[in-house]
Formats: sequence, C-alpha cells, structure tokens
Amino acid sequence: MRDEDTMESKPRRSNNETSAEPGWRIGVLYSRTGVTAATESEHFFGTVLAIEEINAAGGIDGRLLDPVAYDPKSDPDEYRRLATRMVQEDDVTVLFGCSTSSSRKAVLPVIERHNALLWYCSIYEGFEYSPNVIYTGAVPNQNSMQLAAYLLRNHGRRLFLVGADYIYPRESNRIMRDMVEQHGGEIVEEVYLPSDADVDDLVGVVRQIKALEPDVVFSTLIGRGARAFYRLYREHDIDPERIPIASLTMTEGETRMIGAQLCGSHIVSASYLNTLDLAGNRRFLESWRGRFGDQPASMWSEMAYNQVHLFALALARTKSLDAAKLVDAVHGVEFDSPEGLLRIDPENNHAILTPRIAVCQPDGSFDIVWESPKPVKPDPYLISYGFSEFWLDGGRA
Amino acid sequence: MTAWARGLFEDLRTLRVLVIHPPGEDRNVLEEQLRRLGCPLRAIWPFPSQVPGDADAVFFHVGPEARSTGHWSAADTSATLIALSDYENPTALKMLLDTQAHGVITKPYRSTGILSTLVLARAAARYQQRLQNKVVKLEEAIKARRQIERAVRVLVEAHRLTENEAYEQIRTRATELRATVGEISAMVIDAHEAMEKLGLSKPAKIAR
Repeated sequence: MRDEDTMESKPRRSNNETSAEPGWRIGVLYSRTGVTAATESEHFFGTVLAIEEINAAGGIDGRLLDPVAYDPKSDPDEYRRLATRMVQEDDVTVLFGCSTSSSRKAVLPVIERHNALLWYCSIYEGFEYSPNVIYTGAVPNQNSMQLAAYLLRNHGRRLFLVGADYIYPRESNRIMRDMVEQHGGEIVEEVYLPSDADVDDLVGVVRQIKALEPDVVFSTLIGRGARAFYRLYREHDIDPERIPIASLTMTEGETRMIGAQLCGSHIVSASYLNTLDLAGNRRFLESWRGRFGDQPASMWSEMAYNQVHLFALALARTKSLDAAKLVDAVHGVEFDSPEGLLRIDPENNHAILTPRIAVCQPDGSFDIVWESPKPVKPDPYLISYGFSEFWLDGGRA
Repeated sequence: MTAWARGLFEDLRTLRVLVIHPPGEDRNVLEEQLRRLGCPLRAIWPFPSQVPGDADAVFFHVGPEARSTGHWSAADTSATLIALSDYENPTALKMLLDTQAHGVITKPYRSTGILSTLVLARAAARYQQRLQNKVVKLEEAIKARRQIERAVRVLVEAHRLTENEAYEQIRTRATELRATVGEISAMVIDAHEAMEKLGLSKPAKIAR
C-alpha cells in the first residue's frame, strides 16, 4: 500500500511477521533531509536505538515494537500528510516525531482529531499544552533562564543576539533581552537571518560583531547557517575565548561537523551532554557506540531515546496504545535516563529536567561548568522571570 | 515590546481569575489550563447575583441561569468578562450580546486558545474602559461649555464687557480661586439667578 516511501530509510523492522503476536505499531516521523536534517537524523538514531533495545529485551508484554518511519523532508505540509497517512492507513496511534514548533503545529490537528499521542523531544519555546502530546525537551525555564544568568555572571553585560527568523529564536531572544536588561546588561544588537541564510548575510553579521565587540554572542541560528556562522567566526579572527558564542542547540554532533577545533570556548545550555558522569549515561553510550560507532551522541539523540523508553515503561502498565491511558500511565513512571532520573510533570505533560551549562573543548568534548543542584519543574507558560529565581545556585558540576 | 502590550500578560501570575461554571469535565479543562498559565483561580457555582468585586477576569457560563440572576454585564464591573458558551443559535447569540462580554470561548473547551482569548479580552476591556472615561470627560466638557457661554452673556449684559473680557474675567477668577472655568461660570449663573429672584437685577434680556 505504501508508495514512494517504501524506499525510505527505516529502523530495522521487527520480525513480527514470523512471531505469533502482532507488534505494537508506532510511527516515527523525523526529517532525514532538508533544513533540520542534522538534528532530526540524531532524533531518528536515538529512537532507533531505544526501539532496538526494547525489542532485544523481548518487547513489551511479549510483543515487539513495530515502527513505521517516513521522511517529511523538513516540510510542514509533508509532516501533516505523512502523519495523516500513519493514523489513517498504517494503524498508528502513537507517534514519535517533529523537531520544530512549525512541524509540531502542522501535525497537531491530525493527532488531536484521531486521538493519537505525539511524543515531541525537542527543546521549544513553551506556551502549548495538548492532552495528546508528551513534551520531553526543555522549555525556557529549564535552559534559557540559566544561560542568561551564567552569561551575565561570567562573561559580561554586553550581548549580541543573532537568530534564524522563526518563532523559537524570537521567543528565546525576548527572554534573553528581558533578563539581561532587567539585570543591568545591554543588548548591543539583535539581528535575524533567514533559516537558509547565505554566506554574505553571515559575513555581514560576523563583521558587525567584530565592530561592536560584545562580551558574548547569543546565537539561535540553526542547521547549515549555524555551522557556517561558527566557521566564519574563526575565519574572521574573532577569539571565542574572549567573545564566545552561546547557544541552546549547538551540541556534540554539530560541533564535530563544524570541526571541533574551531569550536573551543563556545557555550551551550542543555540538560544532556555526552560527557555526563552517570551510570545511565555510561550504559547509553556503550549501547550507542555499539550501534553507531564513532558518531557522537548528543541531546538530540538522547532525548529521542529517552522518550521511547518512557513510552515503553508506560505501555508496560497499560498494555494498550490508547492515548489517554498512556498519558495517565506516563505520569507514574520514572526512567533512569542518561541525564538522570526522568519524569513527566502531570500538570502539563512536560519533562522535569536538570539544566546544565557546558563549554566546548577543542577536542569536541563538552566540559560541564555548571549544573542545577536539583531538577527543575517545567513551566511552559512562564512569561516574566523574577529576580528571586534568577541567580544560579550550586557550583561547578 | 511596548509596556502596553506587556501589561496585558505579564501580570498573569497575579491576575485574580474567577470561573463561574457548573463543575465537571468542561470546567476542569478550563481550570487546569488557567493553572498552567499560573493565574490565582477560584471557581464557583451557582451563578452569583452580583459580579464579585475581587476578580480581575471572570469566565462565566452563558445560559438561562445568567439571565434569571439579573443582567449583570460589562457596565457593572471593571473586570474583564469572558463568556463561556454552549450554543451558537440566535437565542444563545442574543444572550451572549446581552452580557457585553469582552471575549468568548465556545464548547468544546480546549487548552489552546484560552490564553489568547484572555489577553485579547483584557485589551478590549481596557480600551473600552479608556473610551468610557473619555466619554465621561467629554460630556463634562460639553456641559461646562454651555455654562461658560451663558455666564459670558450674563457678564456682557450686566457689566458691559466684551465677550473676550468677560471670558478673561471668569478665567482669571478661576485661576485665583483654584477652580475650573466651568465652576466659576456656574457661580456667575447662580448669582445672577439669585439676584433675579430677588428682583435686584436689571431687566434681563438674556433668555434661558
């Protein structure tokens, strides 16, 4: 029945054709091509790893996970079309997919109309709740807030903001500007480029940074544009040790693509770094290397991996793919994830996470320089950030 | 972002919200979302006979009970009013209009859209309030204007002043007495009428 997508990449299909019980049908919807291909491929690999681990351990209640995967090519219309196909033709009610708010908003009506369940693992700007979505990525009170405090405390008061022109950068910059200005800092410039910015645009921004000499650059550029920006930064002789670039998205996989030696001293705020010294992370990395070799694991693969495991724990309780039952069950489970014990807040279906800040080393590893002393509850509808919770508590990780 | 725009949503965590709706699953959807927004929240039922004074925003069910408890509406309160509506037939629409609500949410309630409706309704309520204040001021100004004209005529007749001189006289006295020009004009008219009643004024040709 499937036409052009039959040839697309899929995780190894479980051999449910030969087993007595039919598998648990699930959908996997990550772009392997287009603007977000780099991060979504990492989502895909993390998802594959978790599915294979669960199936290798015998599946859930004697039945294997049975994934269907399509490539929506970073196009919101394709996300909607393929999500519709999954729920209408492939008998899917549980989907793992999307990496941006635009693709999530595109599939949301399909998910809600069919009472399906979407697991969304990317960081995003908050201000959403659907009873049909579990959000496992960080919202701004779990990454942006801490980054603003860290930069003001450790790098100075003059910030330069550069972002791709879509909702996440706009919202991240609103928060950054609010907090910096509230605490006596200054935004020296705020510029936006198209998601597929060309080199001339990027060179223009690099020249502006050179001329303005800010204390730190906060970049919410993504994809190829972001990678080109980090390279141009060094080509134009800006010293990252003096003026680092801080980001919420620039993680291990992409710094390797840029060239790790070019990324030393740049900063990232994330709940997972692959240098985390935790038993759960050691297990994950061993499994990851066994499957994907030398390719670095990052928060993109890890969050995707985590949410499949959370789903499996919930499914073990419900023994049913009913969305409402799964949501109910996931409120009661706990996964010993690579970044520590992971839980979902029943109030808003977002993950309770531990914020961390790390500095990239020339060898590509991230040195964790700060870690929240305790996990932070998600507050996806937080609008203004008060003074009391602003300053970082806890010391070096 | 302008202070005006921020003012409409930055105080959500202190905004006192009242929900007037029968208990049940529908109300739960609303209450849970308002809690996610972080609003201090109170839910009541049955319908109160008066708008509670301690609410900044009121979400209220539009139904027969709203009609039978009297017609409290936007004019009686400074709170932002958001109607919760079951039906969209002409009878229901008429009831909705009668409430003069600043916004409406229609069943089935969903978490999405509640924040947008609340913010837009607050903007509409504030704008309406500003217009209302302006109308009151303009009405006062028009009333004062009539009195000033009359007082000027009184002074022109009684003291053989030009219109400009008469007005200048009123204005100067207003400044000295720290009163408005309208108030001084009222004094002039009152005094003139009192003298007339006592038969002490010159035969007045000033009509009215």
